[in-house]
Order: sequence, then structure tokens, then C-alpha cells
Amino acid sequence: MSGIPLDPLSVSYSGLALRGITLNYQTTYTEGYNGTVQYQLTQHDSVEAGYVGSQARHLEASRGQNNVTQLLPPGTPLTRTANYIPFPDFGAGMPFFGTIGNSGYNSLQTKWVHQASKGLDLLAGYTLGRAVTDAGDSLSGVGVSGYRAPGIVPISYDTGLASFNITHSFVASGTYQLPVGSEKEFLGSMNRAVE
Amino acid sequence: MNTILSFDSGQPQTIGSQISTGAGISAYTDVVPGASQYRGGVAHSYNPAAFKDPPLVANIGQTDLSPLGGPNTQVNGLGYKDFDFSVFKSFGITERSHAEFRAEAFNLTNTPTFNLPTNTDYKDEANFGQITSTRSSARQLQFALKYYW
Repeated sequence: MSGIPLDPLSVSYSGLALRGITLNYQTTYTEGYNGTVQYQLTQHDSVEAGYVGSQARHLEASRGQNNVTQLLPPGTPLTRTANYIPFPDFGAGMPFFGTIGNSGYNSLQTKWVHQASKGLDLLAGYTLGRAVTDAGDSLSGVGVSGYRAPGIVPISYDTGLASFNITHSFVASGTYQLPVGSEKEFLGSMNRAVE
Repeated sequence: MNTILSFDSGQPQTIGSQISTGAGISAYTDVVPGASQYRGGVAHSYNPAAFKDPPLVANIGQTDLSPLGGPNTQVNGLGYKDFDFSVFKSFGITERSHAEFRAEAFNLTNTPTFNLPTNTDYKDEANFGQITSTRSSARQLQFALKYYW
């Protein structure tokens, strides 16, 4: 065993990081609400417009612990030598999860449907939406990437568009039955081999 | 004949500060007023001149929060475009059975859709905002013959 330094003084224990999670872990919930009006334009066409919104509370977010509690010039030493963090013998900004995140979504969703005239079905939809969050979705790795100063300002200070936000979304789809062939408008008499 | 056409606007991206403006904190960039955040093109989708470092913390415990930078999600990536198209044709064989031929194309126009740029270093003028990957697949064609009875 000679040659292996077992002197405890040679162990670096400063800046040790402990992981944590809040004791009062609250269940995340979301509330959704929507209202839609639909109007029939013609025998084959209808339009629809709706408001769809939701709010989520108690999202899990990594705010860290042992954060600096005031603004300090760059390069200021944080551990051991000064009392700028609550526990100066441990690392600053240790991982710590709390159920403190919020998110909200508001959208205007519109749709036009054209059905069953001369073999044509069409659907066109447009959504104008906005998803805002201070926590994102930490489970699939698209959370807000690190808060700027969670010990100084609340995490809501870092609220921004969610990484999955899509402001404008347009989709059109359709089916058209060609008016050709047996029981159709044109060339109804052509033989089966041609068809 | 069936079609699906999709257009989505791009997803937001945050440009973080490249310098440390204070001990134990991080920062977003400040956006330069009046300058466009975009240059256009796949190689340089963002404009490095539109972003600047926030000011450094000058005094311990100062109440001016400007060293944290401006709001996040300053820019949006490129949008999503896709056009799918298919043709089905049924053939009657007997009264109780028929065959169906299908030709289907995904991303028929072979229009690429891009991921967010990976390089968010606005000081690296040559590579800032460079897009290096796509999020849609290339054009795919598939054909099928089905028999129903």
C-alpha cells in the first residue's frame, strides 16, 4: 500500500456538490379551456374559429441551491473564503429541483372544411399560438437551460417562449376522386383493361 | 388523390452571453436595437452584429440587473415545410374482391427543413448561426399493391 496517499489532508473536499429535491413536492397540474364557434357557409363548406388555452402549475424546475444571493463582479471567489453563498464550504449552484415552474398557452385555431362535392374533400387549418414558460419540459430535456440568477431574482424573471413554441402553423389536406372511370363523369364506358 | 401540406414557423432559440458578467450567475445577450437578428441562409442564419455582451457587475450587491442581459428566446429558427402526396387506384376483380394500387410520396418536393443552429457564439462571426442538420427526412416514395377480399 505504500505510495498511495491516504492522508485525509490531501483530499479536496471544497466545492462538494450535493443533489437535492424539494421536500414539499407538489403534483403538477394543467388546466385547459377552449371555446369554438362554427358557421356553415354553403352546403359543402364550413368554417370554425376557436380559442384554446391552458395553464400549467408546479412544473418541476432545476433552480439549484446554494446560489449567490447578490450580484458579484466576475471572478469573485465564492467558496470558503467569503460568505456570498449560504454554505461556502459546498459548491455554488448545486442541482436542486423544485415544483415551482409555470407555463401558459394561448391560441387562435381556425379551420375551413369543404366536404363531398364532385369528389373533393378539403381541410385547411391555421393556428396562431404562443407558449410561454419559465420551466419548459424538463423530462424531455427541453427545459429552460439554467436560470441566470435564481438566488437573486425569481425564476419567472427568465420566462420566455417555450422551446416547443410554434407561432404560426398552417396545414392543408385534401382528397380528390378523379372524375374518370365507371360510375364517374368522364370515360364511364371505357373497358376494364384500359381502366 | 390525397395531399397534405404543412407549414410551421420556426422554433425559438436563446442566445446566451459568451462572457461571464458576474460570479455565480449566467446571462443572456443584449439585443442591439435597430439591427436585424437575421442574415438569411443556412450557413449564417443569425446576424452576429445584433448581439452584444451585457455589462459586467461593477459593485458587490448592486441592484442594477442589467448584467443578466435582455430577455431570452431572442431568435427563431427556420420554419417547417412539408408536402405529401399520394394516388390510390382501385380495380374491381370480382364482385366481392378488389385490388388497390397506391403510390405515396412523402416530402414530394424534397424541400429540406432545418434544425436550430448549433453555434450560438456571436463572437465567432464566420460560424455563428450555422445550421448543420435537418429535421425532416428527404423525399421518400413508396408503392403498394393491396388485395381486398
